[in-house]
Amino acid sequence: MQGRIDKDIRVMAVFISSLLLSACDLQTLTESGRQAITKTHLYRLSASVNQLRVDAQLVLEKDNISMAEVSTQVLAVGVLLDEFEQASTEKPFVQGYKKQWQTIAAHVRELNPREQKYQAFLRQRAMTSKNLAVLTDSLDKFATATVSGKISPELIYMATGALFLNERMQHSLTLLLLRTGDGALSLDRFERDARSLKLNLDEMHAFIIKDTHKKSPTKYLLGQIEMLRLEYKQILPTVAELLELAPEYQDFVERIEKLQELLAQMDEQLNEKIRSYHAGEKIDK
Amino acid sequence: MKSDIHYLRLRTVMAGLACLLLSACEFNDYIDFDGTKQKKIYLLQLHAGVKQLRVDTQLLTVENTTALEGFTVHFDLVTRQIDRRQQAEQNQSQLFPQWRQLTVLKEDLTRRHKFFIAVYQDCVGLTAKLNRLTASIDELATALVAARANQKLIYQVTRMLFIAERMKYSLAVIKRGQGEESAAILDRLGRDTVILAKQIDQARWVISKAKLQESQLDALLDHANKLRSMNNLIHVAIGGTLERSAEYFSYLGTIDKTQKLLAEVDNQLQKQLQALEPSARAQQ
Repeated sequence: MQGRIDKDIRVMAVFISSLLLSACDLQTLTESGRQAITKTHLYRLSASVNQLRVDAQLVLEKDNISMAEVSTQVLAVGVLLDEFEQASTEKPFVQGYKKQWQTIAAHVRELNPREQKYQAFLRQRAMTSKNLAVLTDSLDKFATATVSGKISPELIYMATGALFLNERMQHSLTLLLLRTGDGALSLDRFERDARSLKLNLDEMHAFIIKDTHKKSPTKYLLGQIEMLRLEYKQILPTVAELLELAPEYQDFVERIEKLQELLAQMDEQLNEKIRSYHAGEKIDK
Repeated sequence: MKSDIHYLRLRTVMAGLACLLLSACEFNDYIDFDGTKQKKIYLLQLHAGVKQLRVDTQLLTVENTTALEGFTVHFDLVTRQIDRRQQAEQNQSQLFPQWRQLTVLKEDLTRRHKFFIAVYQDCVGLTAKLNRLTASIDELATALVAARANQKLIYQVTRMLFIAERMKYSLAVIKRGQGEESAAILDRLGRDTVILAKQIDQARWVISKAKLQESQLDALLDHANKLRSMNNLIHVAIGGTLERSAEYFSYLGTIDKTQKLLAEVDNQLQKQLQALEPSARAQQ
């Protein structure tokens, strides 16, 4: 009986040794498993942050992406970070990242209510552009009329100048949307041109009134310029509203640009972390 | 008595074994029994790479000389990842059939990027030249009004301002790279230069025939000649831009195609990742 028990114990000892050896293997597996989980989270985060970078650009280009979608995505990244924090051995990194992400979330929260004004500005811009295009036709007819007959050269210069101002206003509106160069510069020029155009029309009106008693063609021009002034007067509320919304528009664009900058920084941090994980594996991200 | 002790030890060992087995169950989270976890990591890595490339492609239309470098580096990395996976799976069929097409597009982008930069810089230089030309035309128009010159001449000169302004606008749109719209605008830019040259020539001719004082006439003619030479320089520069435009627009077209294909790969990857989720696998 005793011999049998000793034999059993020996078998058990061998079994336990092999079990211990397996546990060591298991430990190695666990370590690589943990790394795999961290990598999984890092890749997920990287993909989400880059998706946000693409979306932020699309919000500006009004490509069917709204700030609501961006906000949802930001929240989703927050959830991912919570999961990452629980599962990861990289707690200090994740905690630091989470803290920075809160800045982004706050930034996006501030952007949300501003989107409406941004959209309103875009609508107002489209309407103003349409109105200015109609005014171009009227101004062009007027400028052509000033060339026929014996009209003062000053009036021709002023009429063509009005046409030029109107054209430049349209261009400023387009450039504002394309965000080429300084948006503030385009707006500033648009505002000045709008004022100059009003002055120009008033000046032409006064000039024609002064000349009416002398020359007959100016009587026709007087009717024309009065119509033009009326037409421009009708456009003015739209222009005023556009200018009122302009600071909000610019603020929104600047905030989106800031968001893109912050996201690029966050992405770079992730890239660095991913690179450090792959350093020993000869696998690059 | 001794045998009781041995059995007691044996029971203790059995209990320890049970504990170890329980821990092993917890390790299950870390162990990749069927290679799914590894595949998921690979797909996630690829997904992150493709998203990065989508951002890089957006940056390629911005005047940024480092954008191409970033795009190329990331593209090559993703390509290597795909190749490695292809080898690992020993799969004869292409994992991402779009990638071959994307590789061709990437080569195109690399080759044509210099044209994009060149056209962008052309636009900046031409805008500065046009600003000087506009100021000079305005001076001439003011001088003509002061000299009470012919009405049609004043009208013509003032119209030049309008054309020069339109040319500046065209350059701004081209610089932004708006695809087909830019192509039409570049055509108009070429036509506008020719119109402006004709108008300057006409104005010179009318000024030379104008009944003005000799000193006034000389000054106005000098001014018109100056305008002519300025416009000639602009005309030559725009000629160069027009020559590069075919490559430039191909570049913009290639960016569009690249963005679309990358979006396709992105969607495909998203679907593959969803299929690897436990709930999807249970359904299968």
